[in-house]
Amino acid sequence: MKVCVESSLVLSWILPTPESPAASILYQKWEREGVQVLAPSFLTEEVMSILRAQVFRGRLTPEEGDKAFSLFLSMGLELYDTPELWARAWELSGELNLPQVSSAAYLALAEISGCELWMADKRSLGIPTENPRVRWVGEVFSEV
Amino acid sequence: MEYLTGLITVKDAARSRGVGEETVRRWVWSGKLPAQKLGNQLFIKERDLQLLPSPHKKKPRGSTLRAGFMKEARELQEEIRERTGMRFDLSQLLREYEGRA
Repeated sequence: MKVCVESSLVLSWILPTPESPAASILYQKWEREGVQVLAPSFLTEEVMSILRAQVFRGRLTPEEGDKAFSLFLSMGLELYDTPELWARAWELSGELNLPQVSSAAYLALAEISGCELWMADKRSLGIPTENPRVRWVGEVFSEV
Repeated sequence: MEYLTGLITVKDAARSRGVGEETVRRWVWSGKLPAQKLGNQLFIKERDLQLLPSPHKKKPRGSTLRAGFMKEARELQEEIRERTGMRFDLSQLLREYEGRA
């Protein structure tokens, strides 16, 4: 089984957020079931930049930033960077009238891989959440 | 044989791309790779071969989530919460990132 994840979910696995308890349950469930967790390759830059910004703003100490970054790298995500993905992301961003392609890339990867797209922050993607592929971590308590 | 400069056989093309000879013939038959027939043999321009996209997509092999990750992550989360008494607001983090604020 495969799932696609968005950066808000990855961040809630690393940093303390209100969504972290549910996100943690989801991680352990997927780990037990051997689920492959996919993301577009730019997720690395997104997560790294956000972690770096927390250190820069003094919300994380440099040591906490280093630990968070190492944890992220060790997680075991499968990152994708294929022309097929970017082509579909471009198409979708037009179909959904999005001002940028990154949100569409998450959805495109889920579509190409035939799986769900999970996120921790419903508002962050800016794509219609009624899309049947889009799942929110808050649903996890009814899942497990 | 000046006219053969820059031309290679199917066998050499296959070796150069790390694929089988049948794959190279398929590329030729499908029109993906231009070729010319001299006698009974197909020849390919080395330049045309170089222009073909890499057959190996940048796609990772299947892997799964690391066991033990969540325990270490919870420890870090606890450490941060004890020090700051706060939890991060994901919407804010992503807004700041998008605005590069």
